[in-house]
Amino acid sequence: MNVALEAGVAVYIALIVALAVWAGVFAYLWRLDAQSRELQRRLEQQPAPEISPPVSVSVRQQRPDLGEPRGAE
Amino acid sequence: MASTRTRVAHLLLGLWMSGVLAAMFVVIPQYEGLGNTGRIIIMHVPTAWVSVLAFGVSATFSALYLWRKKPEDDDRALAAAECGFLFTVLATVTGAIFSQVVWGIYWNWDPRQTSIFVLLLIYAGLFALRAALDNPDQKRQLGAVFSLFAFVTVPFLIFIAPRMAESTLHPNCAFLPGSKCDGIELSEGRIGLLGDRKVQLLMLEQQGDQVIAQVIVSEPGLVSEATLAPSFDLTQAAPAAMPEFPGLRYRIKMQDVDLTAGVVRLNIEAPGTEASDLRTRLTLLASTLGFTALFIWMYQIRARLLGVQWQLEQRQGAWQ
Repeated sequence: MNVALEAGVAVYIALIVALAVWAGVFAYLWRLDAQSRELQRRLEQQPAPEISPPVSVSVRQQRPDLGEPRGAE
Repeated sequence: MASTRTRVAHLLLGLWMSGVLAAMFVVIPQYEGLGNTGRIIIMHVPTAWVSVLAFGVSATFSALYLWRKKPEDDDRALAAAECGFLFTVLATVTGAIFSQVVWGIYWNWDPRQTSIFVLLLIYAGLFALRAALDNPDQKRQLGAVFSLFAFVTVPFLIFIAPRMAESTLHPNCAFLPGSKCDGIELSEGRIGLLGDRKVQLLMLEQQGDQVIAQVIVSEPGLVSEATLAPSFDLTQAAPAAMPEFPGLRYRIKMQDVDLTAGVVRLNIEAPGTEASDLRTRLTLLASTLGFTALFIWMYQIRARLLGVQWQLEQRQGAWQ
């Protein structure tokens, strides 16, 4: 019989696997935590871009032979 | 950068949960009749509790959002709901593993399994609703209302519905001190449901100080049936013979008998009745505290990421 499957040994193998999974989850959360804090810090340091007012366009049509401009806004 | 105190707290959490895992596998004793499988309760119960906590936090921040209209409250509500969903999945998976060992099947639509499945569907509906809406204000508003309604179902689906149904194999009476399974009363010839097994009392017979019942037990779907003979000791007023359900580690017991009326109370005797061992209770408590801290950490990270995402979207919109 496989030694690893014996009840006395299998429980320790299961413990090692569970600890390895937890170590992976913990490392992932630690890294994600650090990265998200850094991202937030950078965003707070950068000034938010100013939202420019809506652009208005004026069109003036002018014919040299008529003198006065037409359609002036 | 995170403050040193926060980093130390996170490191302590890592060590704490490692200790819980070590205690789960090598410190607490095996459950009588369940062997090493019973150890999964150290993961299963805390994850289920934390999911309720997470959904409660989500509902609280949803209510706060509806009141204050702060996007941060919505981020926290969504983060808590997502964590709650994750912990519910963990509770369901660990429960299904336990179910496979004890009941011989991963999923058998037991009332407890069905209610948690419905809860998962409700919160999946919340995420689907949010994903389907483009307008951020509409998404937040409707999401908050949905989250509040979803939380109303949580106490019913987790605590009330499974206890209303007598036909559950979920071992409340085995592990939770103070709770008990009432069992069913049957007279000769009557049929009832014990767990997911159909039982029929064929006859009662008194032999000296013992009352012996002949009970036909049928598997779900009437796949097979067996005749069991639980007995009751009249002098000690206690169950005597408690034969195992075929293919299960649960036993059938005659909890009480009324010979004049010809009625018996049959019940399930679960292995490892009550987690009375001090080490087990302390490990369960430590696990619950650890998972609660883990939830708080995960929820904070997720809420922060949602906040960053919102800020980036705002800036992207301003630049375009």
